Amino acid sequence: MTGPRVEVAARSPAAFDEPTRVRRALAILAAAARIADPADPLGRRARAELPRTTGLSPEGVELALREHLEVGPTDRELGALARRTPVVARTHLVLASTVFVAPARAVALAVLEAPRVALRPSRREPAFPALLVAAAPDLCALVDEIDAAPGDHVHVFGADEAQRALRLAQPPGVRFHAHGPGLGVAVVEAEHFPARGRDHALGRVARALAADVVPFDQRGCLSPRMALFVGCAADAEHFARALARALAELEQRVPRGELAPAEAAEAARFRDTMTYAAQLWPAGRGAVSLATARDPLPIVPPVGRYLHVTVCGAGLEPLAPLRPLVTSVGVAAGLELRARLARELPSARVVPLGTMQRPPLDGHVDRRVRPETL
Amino acid sequence: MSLLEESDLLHARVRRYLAAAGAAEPFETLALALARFQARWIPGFARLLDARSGSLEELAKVPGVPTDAFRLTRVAVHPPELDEARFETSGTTGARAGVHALRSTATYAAISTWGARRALLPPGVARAVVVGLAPCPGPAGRSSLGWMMRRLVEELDGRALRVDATGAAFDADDPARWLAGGSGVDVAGLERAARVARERAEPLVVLATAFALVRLVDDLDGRRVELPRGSVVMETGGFKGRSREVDPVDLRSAVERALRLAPGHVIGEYGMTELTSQLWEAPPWCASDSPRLRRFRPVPTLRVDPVDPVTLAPVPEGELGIARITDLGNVDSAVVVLAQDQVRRVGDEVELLGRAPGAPARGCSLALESLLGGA
Repeated sequence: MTGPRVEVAARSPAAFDEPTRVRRALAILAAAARIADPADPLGRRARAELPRTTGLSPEGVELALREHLEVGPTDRELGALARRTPVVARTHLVLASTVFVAPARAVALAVLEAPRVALRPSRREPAFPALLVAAAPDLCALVDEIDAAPGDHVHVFGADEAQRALRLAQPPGVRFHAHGPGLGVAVVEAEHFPARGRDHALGRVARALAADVVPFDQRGCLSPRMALFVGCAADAEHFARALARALAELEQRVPRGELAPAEAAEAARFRDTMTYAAQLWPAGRGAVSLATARDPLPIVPPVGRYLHVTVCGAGLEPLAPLRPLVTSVGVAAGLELRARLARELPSARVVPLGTMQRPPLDGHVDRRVRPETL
Repeated sequence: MSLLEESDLLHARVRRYLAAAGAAEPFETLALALARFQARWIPGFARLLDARSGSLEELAKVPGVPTDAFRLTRVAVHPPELDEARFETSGTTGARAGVHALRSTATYAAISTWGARRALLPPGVARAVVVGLAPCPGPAGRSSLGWMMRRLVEELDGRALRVDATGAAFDADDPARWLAGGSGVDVAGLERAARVARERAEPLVVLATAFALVRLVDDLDGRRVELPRGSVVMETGGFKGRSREVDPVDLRSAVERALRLAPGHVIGEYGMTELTSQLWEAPPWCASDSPRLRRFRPVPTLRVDPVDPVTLAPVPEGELGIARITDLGNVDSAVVVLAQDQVRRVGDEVELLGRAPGAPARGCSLALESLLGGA
């Protein structure tokens, strides 16, 4: 990453009023829209560079740019967001590589809260932040290292080790936001669908879940990795098979990209383990596994379009140990179970299946973050 | 032939193979016989064989059973009611433990004793005084290491822990022989055992985990316990889940100083709950050159092949791979096991390098292993 070590000049606090803040956020979203546009030079550059830096297939990059990049919020929605967001002098973002479009949201929120915004891209994926800065050079700047002062906000996206190291490196008085690893979980309640036509309904649910698995090859913190199936083993198998078919069909349109060596090793091990210990169906370049033994401990597959379906009771026992990690729950269930999930996982986004990867721009994606003043 | 008859015959065949130090028949022939037996009786293994397009005609094409499988399902040809022992893997609280179910422990006993005798007793020494720096495992423990230690006490010693054992009943569970517990190491007990060995003009064999040795050095606090000439310490295991880690080289030096041992007389053993056979560091009286820390020699019933973690193809000699372990002792479970440890083959030795550096490949990746609790 070789961005210039400059930041946008600070404006006077009086000039940083709500309309200004909203205009800044809208400008970031407009920049993102240019990157999403295949006819724009930035859009062409994105399509040329991102398959290499993200590991996604060109089709995977296209899917993310077209369907998972937030460009739609209105100035009214952003105004409401601005009123909820306190103003600070400077915000620093340390970005991750997992969901390459995520910087658009992070920067839009950052320019709402601070007149000066610095971005440190991940070493693995520097392309999208560079494109964003190229499209909105007055609003944010790329840096090699963050240089926070007391009172600044620092948002760190990524693995726990990186969080720990960066936290230790900050001076006292910095407001630190750790956006750590997380995962999505699907919950399917068979009884929610009438017995007559249930197979058809479960097929529809499986297709919706597959659409949540495919974006970013499942590397996002909202990506579903396991499905809790409340129902009988036969229905669960039907669902798992339908899910494998749906993923295989999606693979035709949006091929999975290449996995990193450690990811590929983990995937190979998972396949063999689940083939031996449970049931496993190939699903494009990924797979779907199924355990029907009502095991109270969770099994979380590796990334790369792998999903584990586990049969459980209405108590959703395998979810308990995962609670601190769950950022998103995709649900196809009755009102009672949906309400319970929302109650028991207050920091998770509980949404219909098929929409897990499209969170509204209502704040940061991960609601588990608890900022702390160092 | 019934399952039990076939299993008994295979156990006997493996023990004959061991007794002949591998000269009785080709390793591959016996391994393939075990793989065919397991494919007939374990549906999960048959599925894996099919999914991996494996073959029972060539050992390299027999798929390895990942150690995770032992955590998720039963890995055994026989039903639970025939288990003679059930060894559990260690793990963090609340995590899923793996289980290795043994229908017969006779082969485990034979293999572990065979290796220990050669690694821990100097030439010409038939018996030694043996103690464990561990809590008493009891006859029906769930730890395969505890079971092996108790067996080694029986096989390498087998006499009451007193200078004149004539007429005294041997008790493998004698608390005087098990010298570590929650309150630390029983240094006085170790001194007593050393006195018994010296009076008998025998070496003392101390069976210990690395963690127990750290406790010993801490508890001695600079003092020394002089062990008789020829004494050895068997060091096994790491520091998993423990609050304190010590560099292995420093630990060995400290133990040698504390117990006045000759260099090289702390001898490493490597075993896994999912295995029946072990690997041992070469003892000083066997090593063609100076023994190298963490380089192990497998017993004749074990073969370790470093393989690529994705393709599972063997890696070139001298390169790192994950351990594909063929264990003839695993008659009733999994003859080929796929571990997660990185290994390198160096001549007839295997260098163990621990887990692959688990850099989560991309930010949000959460390994199955971390949620299963580590192994």
